[in-house]
Amino acid sequence: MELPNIFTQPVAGAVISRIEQLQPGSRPGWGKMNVGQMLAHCNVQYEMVYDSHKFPRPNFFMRFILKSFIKKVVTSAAPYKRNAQTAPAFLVRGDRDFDHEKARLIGYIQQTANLGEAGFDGKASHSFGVLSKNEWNNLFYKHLDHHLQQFGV
Amino acid sequence: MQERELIPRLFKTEYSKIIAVLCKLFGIRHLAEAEDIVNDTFLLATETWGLKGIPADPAAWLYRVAKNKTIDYLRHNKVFSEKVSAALGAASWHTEAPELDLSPPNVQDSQLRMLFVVCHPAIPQEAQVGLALRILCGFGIDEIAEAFLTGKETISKRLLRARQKLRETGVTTALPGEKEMEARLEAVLTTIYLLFNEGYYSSTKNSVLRKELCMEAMRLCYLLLQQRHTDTPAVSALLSLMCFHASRFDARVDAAGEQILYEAQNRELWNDALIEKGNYYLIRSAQGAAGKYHLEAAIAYHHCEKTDSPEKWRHILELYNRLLQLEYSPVAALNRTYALSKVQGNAAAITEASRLQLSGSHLYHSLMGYLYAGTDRQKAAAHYEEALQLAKTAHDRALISRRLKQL
Repeated sequence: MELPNIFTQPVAGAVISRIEQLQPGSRPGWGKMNVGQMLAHCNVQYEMVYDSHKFPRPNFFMRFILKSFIKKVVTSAAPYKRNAQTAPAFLVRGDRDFDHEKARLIGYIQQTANLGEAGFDGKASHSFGVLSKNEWNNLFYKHLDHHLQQFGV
Repeated sequence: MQERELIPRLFKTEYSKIIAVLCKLFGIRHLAEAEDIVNDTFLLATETWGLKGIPADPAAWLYRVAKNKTIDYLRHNKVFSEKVSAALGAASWHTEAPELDLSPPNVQDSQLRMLFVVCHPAIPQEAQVGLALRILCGFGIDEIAEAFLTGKETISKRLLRARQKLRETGVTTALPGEKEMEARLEAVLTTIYLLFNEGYYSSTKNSVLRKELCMEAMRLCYLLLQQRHTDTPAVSALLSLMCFHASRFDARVDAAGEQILYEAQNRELWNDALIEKGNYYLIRSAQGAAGKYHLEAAIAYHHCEKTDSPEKWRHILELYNRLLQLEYSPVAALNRTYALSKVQGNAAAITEASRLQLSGSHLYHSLMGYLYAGTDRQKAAAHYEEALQLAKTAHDRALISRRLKQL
């Protein structure tokens, strides 16, 4: 794995303890989202895995764009740029309940660690087609790490 | 810069701006009067700058003179002034001339309106491209004639008829309403694409002129993206497509002006900045259903990949399949066959190409010549000979002759 393995309990635990440090009043170092919205935004990547029927399947051209341009940004180990534009499905509008979103996110991280890397290796993603366990790990860990850094934890 | 170079350059950039603003003010019925005023302005510039030197801000000088000439024109042409002011419901311009607003927002708005006027369905497509070059891009009749490989007289007549048609049809500079915008915008995009192709595939060896045609098409497309009503995914897709094509401009012609085929191009000469722009507009275009410009842009994207791989050609083939399902065209079908040869080999491509029933096209025989070249020299030569007979331009004939010699 290129990044810390979020499919293992020690890394999942470390990420969860960073989430535990967040407060309803935590402020971002950059960007427009508040902390509740950020947690809801991080939940979307798990909803796409565990509740994928909620999201329309991208059409042919969108799949081409996702594979040609976005996949590399999302599944490589290279960190995200700050203030980069997000995909429409990841846009969070309106206020979100901090405790509810936090509990959901922790639940998703645990569920994913319990399934382990074997549960993800070669699994098809909603947006990018089949991904390796390393690509899945980059996708999950990098995104969470980016937003936890955004809120200083 | 000497005035000999400066005036033609300014003519190209400023002519269309002033004409567009004047037409928005007077109405398109008075295009001829607008052209008179602008021509007078440039005539005075040529005379004055030749004697006194070029002013510090030549464009501002032109705007000032155009404004004054408009006022003079309205004062000295009472009949015109009253006719126009009455038609537009304005106060009499004979006594109080209107201000000519050459501010950037008004110039942009006026040019956008002119683009829709020029691409009005009442005018034949070929004339639309010519009119766009003349009125929106400030090209001279001789340049347009060269680009179309035809005589100046033909172009002048074509433009004259188009102007008459605009007057007869009562076309106005008002932008199309929401309901008709989609269809009208489609016509505008077709004209912009034809304008680009005129430059990209033009038979003239004048590479400066060809590049200018392509750049103007891209500028007009960009103009559409600047306005809320016309900033649609299809417009982004078309600009992306043109950026990808334009990125290979310097690699596809050799020093003698001869065309270099895709396979033989030096990848180092492809313009990375334009490829990046193409990527940007392609991503921007990804909203809703994908139309033909989306698919063509996606094909062009893959063509800009510098390394050849079986996967690249499989993607291109799939995109051609979708493009043909969406809108069949013989050229796209032939291009698909080339992609097919890369994926399934020449024999499969020969079988498919034969089914297209395009034996009257030099492009078909050129492709068949290429596909047979490795296996059947005699058949390849026969197809190239046929292509040579059918090709209409010296440029195409030269290319085919070279392929024939290489057999």
